[in-house]
Amino acid sequence: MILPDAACPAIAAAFSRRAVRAFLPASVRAREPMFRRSGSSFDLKAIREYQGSDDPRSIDWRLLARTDRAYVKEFRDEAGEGVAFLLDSSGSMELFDRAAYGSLVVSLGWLLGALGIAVEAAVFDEACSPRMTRLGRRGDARALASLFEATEFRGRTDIGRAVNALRRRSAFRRLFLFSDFLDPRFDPRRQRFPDTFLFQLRAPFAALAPLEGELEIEDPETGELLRAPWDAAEAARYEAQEEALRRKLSSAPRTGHWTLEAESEREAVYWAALERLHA
Amino acid sequence: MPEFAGRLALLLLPVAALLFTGLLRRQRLRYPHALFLGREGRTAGLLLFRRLRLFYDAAIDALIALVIAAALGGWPGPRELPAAFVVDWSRSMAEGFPGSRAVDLAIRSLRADPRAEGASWYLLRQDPLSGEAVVEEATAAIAGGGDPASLVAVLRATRPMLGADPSALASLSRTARRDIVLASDSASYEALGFELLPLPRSPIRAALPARVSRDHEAGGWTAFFASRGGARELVILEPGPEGALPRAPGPGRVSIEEADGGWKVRLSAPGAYLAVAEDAALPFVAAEGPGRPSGEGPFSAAMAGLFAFLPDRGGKGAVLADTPSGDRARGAKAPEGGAGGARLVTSALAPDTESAVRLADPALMRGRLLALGAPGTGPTEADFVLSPRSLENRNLPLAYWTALEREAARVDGDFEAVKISSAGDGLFAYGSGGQVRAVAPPASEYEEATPGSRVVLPSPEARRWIPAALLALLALAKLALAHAFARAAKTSGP
Repeated sequence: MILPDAACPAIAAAFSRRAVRAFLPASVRAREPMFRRSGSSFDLKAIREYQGSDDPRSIDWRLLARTDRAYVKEFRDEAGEGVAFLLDSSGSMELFDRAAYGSLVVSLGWLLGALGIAVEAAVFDEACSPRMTRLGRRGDARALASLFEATEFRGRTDIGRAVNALRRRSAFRRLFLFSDFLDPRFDPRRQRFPDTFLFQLRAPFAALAPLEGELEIEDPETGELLRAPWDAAEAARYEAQEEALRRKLSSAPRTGHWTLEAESEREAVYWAALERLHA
Repeated sequence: MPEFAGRLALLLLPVAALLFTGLLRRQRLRYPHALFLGREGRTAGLLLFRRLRLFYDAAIDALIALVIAAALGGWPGPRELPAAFVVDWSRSMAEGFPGSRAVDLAIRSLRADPRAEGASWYLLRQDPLSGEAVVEEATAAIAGGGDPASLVAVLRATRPMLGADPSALASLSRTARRDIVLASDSASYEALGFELLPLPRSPIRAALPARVSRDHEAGGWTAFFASRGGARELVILEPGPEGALPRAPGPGRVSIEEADGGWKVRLSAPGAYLAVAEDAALPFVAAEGPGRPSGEGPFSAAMAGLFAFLPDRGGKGAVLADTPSGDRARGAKAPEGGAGGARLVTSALAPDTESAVRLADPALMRGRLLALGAPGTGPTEADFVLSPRSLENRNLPLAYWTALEREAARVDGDFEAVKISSAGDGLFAYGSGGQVRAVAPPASEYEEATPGSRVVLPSPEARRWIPAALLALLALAKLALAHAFARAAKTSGP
């Protein structure tokens, strides 16, 4: 059973004290004008006269008292305030430490749940048809852990298609995307979600390769073999390519990007992701 | 070719071992190709370059092995220069009537050779003053055509035909001449490294000067001549004034009598003469010989007294000197009073050798024996280191006599010619001090060639600079590639 990181409760508690609004139930936030923000899902959608088919509970009683006419306020669907997790289960993810991958996903799911934010998770594979899982309330990440444990890393990556498929099926407007992003077809500038969080799980090639020599590199997704000379110059050139990929992910609009390696400190990432989520 | 292949295989062995060791160390990994494919797919040239970076060291080593193997096999061979035609420019080649002489035949034969187109022509001759064999290019004179007899006459006016040493052809073979053809009437030897065009050799009736010396007993000079080629007559002439023909000496100055195998000629005065037989006229000189020596020191004065019969040559006589022990004596050869006399130093203080007998040069003693003092006990620069046993030898004066003759001949012959005058088959060279020296063809020119000898010329020198330059280039390429790859590693980093 994958458990959240030990630091998660403390992070959730600290973040709750710091941002009371985030701790409030979504229904309360939606009805309190003080929490309404321009451009967010808490915005008022419309005010119209009451009709017989409307729920009487939606009548604005204050307006009724002032105008003696019944009006109904319509708000946007609060369901869009949740976060969709999209987990890369392609063959290349086997290179990243599975336990670290699982802890990252479960911890983030638990944190969001603890802060009252709905989470639904999907694992995408070669078929690009995410399997959806909705987490329970208030920090119950067991469903997410079960989903991750049942995941096998295999097949090829097509992140773009998977994101599009998820966007069609999910009402949430925020996406937590977990992948190594070693997909040449993926363009982070073409995001279907209004707010995207990219978690790049990196297994450095230099740590696997010898200092120099001839390498036979098998692609875990395609099974193709590539023979390549490897030395300090090649390592430097490869790192430059990785850096270019990082810049590409970081510079995408409406996108947050974090690079994690198996041994990376994850608490800072949790905190930064929550900060961005709340901003 | 099999030798080359074997040599190359041996040289490539360590290179291949290193290469295979590297390949055996090849490691297999599982990793996405995404960031590799971006560069792999660019151009084939780039891929080749990247391959080269891993294997360039082995590739260049293999090329170095190839160059070394080729160089050891003689690659690249000498340049293919046109053939070199060499004419034996010796006296025997000029025997006969113009047009039918061996030298005329040589020129005609070589001109008819299929390789004559573009060929270079040379004369193999003897320098009259130094006596050294030289190979002189005469392409412009001979290749242009013309009657061989006329051509030879023109060339002979400035290039006397004396002797020809075929070993001098080495200078041609070293300069990468592959086809060297020597036309010679002395083709009695085996030619290796060049081609010999044998020509008929005509016998020459000549009287060869054997020995000319001063006759101290009868007075005057005595010359012995050997008959060669069946010569039966001998006439002695004196060279005339400059440009004039030789002339007969005055009455009573020369008497000729037959001797065994030749003639004995008595001359009343020293000087230059010409011995004319049927086919040959050979210059010779009756030298004055050693003058009366003077002595310094008790022993040398006594020894000089033995040669009091020699004529006084006005200070040109040698000086015999004793050397006090410890002095450096040979400095010695300085002329006395600038007149050209020599100094012969004697040390008579050395003891007899005990462990071994040290003998004087047999040539100095004319075959007789003379024990000398132990070496190192007397002044090392002394001409004679005598011991008590030497002093008891009755033939001791013979050594001094031979030495005096040698010194006289050396002083007379050691000059720089200021004038050369053609004289029969040879010439007279005159020095600034009035000395005269006769230069005649070697005696072998008047005799049948001795068969059985062998002349070997060195092989043409391979052009070693080409593989050397290639090796240098390959070494530079290794350095440059290593430098370039190291720089690429620095600049391509994040």
